[in-house]
Amino acid sequence: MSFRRRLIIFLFATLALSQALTASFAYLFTRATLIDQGKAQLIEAKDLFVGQLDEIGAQIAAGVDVLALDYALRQAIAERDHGTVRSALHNHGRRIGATRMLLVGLDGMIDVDTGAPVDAGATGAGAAKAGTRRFEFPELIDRAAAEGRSSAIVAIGGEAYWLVIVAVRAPVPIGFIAAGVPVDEGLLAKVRGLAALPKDLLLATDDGAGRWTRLAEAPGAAALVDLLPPVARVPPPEPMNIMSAGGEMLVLTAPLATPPASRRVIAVMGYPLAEALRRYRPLILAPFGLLSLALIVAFGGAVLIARSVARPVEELARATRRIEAGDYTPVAPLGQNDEIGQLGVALGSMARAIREREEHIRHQATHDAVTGQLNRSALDQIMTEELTNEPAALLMIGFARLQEIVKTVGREIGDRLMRSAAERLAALVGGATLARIGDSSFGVFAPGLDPPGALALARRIVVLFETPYQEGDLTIDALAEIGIALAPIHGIDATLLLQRADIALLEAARAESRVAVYDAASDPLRAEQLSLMSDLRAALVRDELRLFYQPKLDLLTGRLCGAEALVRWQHPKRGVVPPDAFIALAEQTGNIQRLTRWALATGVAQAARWRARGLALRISINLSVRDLADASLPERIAQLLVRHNVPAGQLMLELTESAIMGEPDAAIAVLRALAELGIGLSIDDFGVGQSSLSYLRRLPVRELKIDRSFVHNLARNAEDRTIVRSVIELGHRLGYSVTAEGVEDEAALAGLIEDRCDHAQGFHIARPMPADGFDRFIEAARWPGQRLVAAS
Amino acid sequence: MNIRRSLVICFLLLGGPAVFAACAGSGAASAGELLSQISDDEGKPVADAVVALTPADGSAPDSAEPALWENLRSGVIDQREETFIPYVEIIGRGGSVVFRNNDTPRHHVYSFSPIKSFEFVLKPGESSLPVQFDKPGVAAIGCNIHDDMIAYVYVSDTPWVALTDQSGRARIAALPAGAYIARIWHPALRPGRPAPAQPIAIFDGAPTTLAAALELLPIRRRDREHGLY
Repeated sequence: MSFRRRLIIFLFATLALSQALTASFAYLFTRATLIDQGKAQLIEAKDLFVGQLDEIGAQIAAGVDVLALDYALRQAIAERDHGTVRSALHNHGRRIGATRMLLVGLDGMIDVDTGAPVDAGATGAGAAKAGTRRFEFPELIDRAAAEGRSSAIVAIGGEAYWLVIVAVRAPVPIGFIAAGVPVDEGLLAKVRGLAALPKDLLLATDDGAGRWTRLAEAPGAAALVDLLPPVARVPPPEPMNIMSAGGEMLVLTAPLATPPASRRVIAVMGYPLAEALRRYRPLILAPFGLLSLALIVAFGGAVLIARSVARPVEELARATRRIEAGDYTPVAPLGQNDEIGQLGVALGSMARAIREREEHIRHQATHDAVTGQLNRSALDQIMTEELTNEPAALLMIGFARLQEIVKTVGREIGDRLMRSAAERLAALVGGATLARIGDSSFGVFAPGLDPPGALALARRIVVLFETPYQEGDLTIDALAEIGIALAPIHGIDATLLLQRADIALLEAARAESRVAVYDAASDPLRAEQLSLMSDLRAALVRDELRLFYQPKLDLLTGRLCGAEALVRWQHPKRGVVPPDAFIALAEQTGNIQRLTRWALATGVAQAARWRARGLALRISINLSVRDLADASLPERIAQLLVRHNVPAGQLMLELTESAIMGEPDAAIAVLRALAELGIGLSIDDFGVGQSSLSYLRRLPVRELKIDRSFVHNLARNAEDRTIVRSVIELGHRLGYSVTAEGVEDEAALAGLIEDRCDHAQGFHIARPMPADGFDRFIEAARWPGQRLVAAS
Repeated sequence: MNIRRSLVICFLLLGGPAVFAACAGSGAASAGELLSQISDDEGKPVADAVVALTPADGSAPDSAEPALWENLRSGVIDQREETFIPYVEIIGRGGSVVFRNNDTPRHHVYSFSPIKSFEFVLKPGESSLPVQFDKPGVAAIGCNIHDDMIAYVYVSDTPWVALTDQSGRARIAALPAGAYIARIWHPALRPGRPAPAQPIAIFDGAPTTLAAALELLPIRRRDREHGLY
């Protein structure tokens, strides 16, 4: 729930509660006041009403008095002329509003009654039938006799009468005139009007059955009589609270003085509380009117407060979400000096701090700490963004010797060297993107650069780093090799391009120009080759590889002196895989060490079997230069030899000339350790590489194997013959034994013997063969003219 | 009249003569006399009460002295200050009354009484012709102009009759000894009821006393100032 809504609800609830309380207090107070007022009014009205009735009675009596003094009437009465009396009473009764007039004799008998039918026999001046009925209310007659007159309200035949009795004197009492004035609706209305009595006014009488019944009621009066308690319960002198159809009423009853012979008559007055309350309804409802007014004001107030509180808070919430989303544009000042304003300021400075920190982190994430250049992932990202189908070039610049340099002069100088290199590169490549890709390599991404341009740039970089790095007295040669991957021909995917530039860089390290463009053929990471490698690993496990052994002939003795172990792979699907197809690949993909390990184990085991049979054959196993990176290799080989009980001298390890050149000291240390074990080292493919003899001298080499390219044309090519002879001579001079590979004909073999080569190997002597075949060969084969005898 | 009060009256009527007789001492004449003392039930003396004796045997009072009758032959009722004076006038049967206006306004004198009905207007200073009353009884006299003017003419059929004075006393002299019925009348006696009556013995030479307490209605006469209206 939003602050604004809560605020509005709170205001609403508070206002509603207070107004409701006000309204109920107003109602209760008004009601209590009205009840008091109503009761007082009723009690006052009761006295007023009784007073008014008396007044009316007096007026009637005055009228009757005048009548009673009429001489003629008195004479008629005295002379008992009842016809005259009757007509006179009738006539006078009309004047005073009486509907019934009686003449009562001194004996209490009714002499004349205007309400009774005239006797048929007595017309005109004749006497009315009289003297047969006793007047019902002798007490009134008595009082009139004593006081001249009397009056009372009586109930006769369901109607109320003011009965006024006046004595007729002539001059002594000669009779009584009784006048009955009906107390009817009209009279009550008149009384009510004169005395400002309550609207609800009526007379009721005891109906003889325990209930009050209506005698007369003022026009418009409520039917209060039905609400009265039974006659048996004496009506209280205090007003009662009664629920009527028209709502709550206060009802007061006032017994009127009636003669004993009459039924009781009461006046009933009502005070319509509900109606009175209705008049105060505006007052009671006023709080609700005020409430709606207050609600409007409160709503407006809430909106205003929201503007000063909720809106800035919402503003800050928006700013926070913006910051969360990474938008650090400064938070606009709220223009408020209160807590929220301070919060806004704090949020602003927080956003600034976050921005700075994030910039720092982002810089760290995308830049190399040493050179300050972009890092590989940043370059990847930039390339991803910028690579299209347009030509672009990625140059991978590597410093192959960097590890060696760091090892020699320390990490700090190495870092400074790379920093310097980065600066020089940056200056050279200009608008292209420069990034440090690895410890010893940089990448330059140049969109729009075509292949010739890329080659030209690469050459300029090579030239640039032909100038050595200078630091004080220290001069460090750090030559650069450059691998180039081109978009879109080598791909338009950044990761792929980087990978391919890496591969090209590996090629470049071997190239004379120090520059290589990616070549799909040599790419060990191509899918089929990758699958081959996984197959190779599986093959090692499943024992699909075999070692074939090619016999090696001692030319001096004419005896078989050893064998070179050559890996053969019978692939379950591809058939026989030639070594060239997977050895180099294994080297490039780092699988060569496993292969070497397997070859060593298998070869040494074979040597042990030969030895067991009394054959002292020296076994030659090829090592990859990558095997030399493993410092534990000598140790492992030593264990292997011990385990199979094969003397170290019976194992020869072969390394290619090109592989061994330029290897770091670590590799040389491994070689020395192997030599110290007594294992012979052989330089394979000697003559095609660029090895310098001085470098070779540093190595514990025991044998040179002349490359087959010189040997197989030996008999037909004089130059080759010269080279072979020179190598043999040189080798012998330097103390190496020399082996010729690729001996394929008798002439070559003859030439080698003539040139005093130590050992020979080739199809002419024997093809490589599996272990069992080799055994049979030893048993049966003969070199022409001679039986091969194992050296023992 | 309740029982107690009746007993009081009886006692007074019966016991009284013995007391009076014991005290009378020497009788002056051969005739007796009756001394009456009339009071109301509060003991106050009552004026204008008529005490009349008739022979207990019902015979005519022929033995009365002619002078007694003579005294009752005529009477005068004056009107002064809107008042009939006297209030009660006693005459004998066949006697007459003259009404005399000694007042400033006119008076319309009338009576609807059963024993005599008449009316006439008297100008100031005028006197009426004598009105003769032939029947015994009481005639109420009124003035039709002044409602509160009232007077009574007591027409007596016995000469032994007297009116109480302001002290409530009345004296009847020249009474032959014998048994009589004493009747008392007063205007304020409740109408419609028989007048109190009692046998009484008269002795020669010694006055007989009669003491009576009357239950009376409030006297309306001369009460105009306080009004009933």
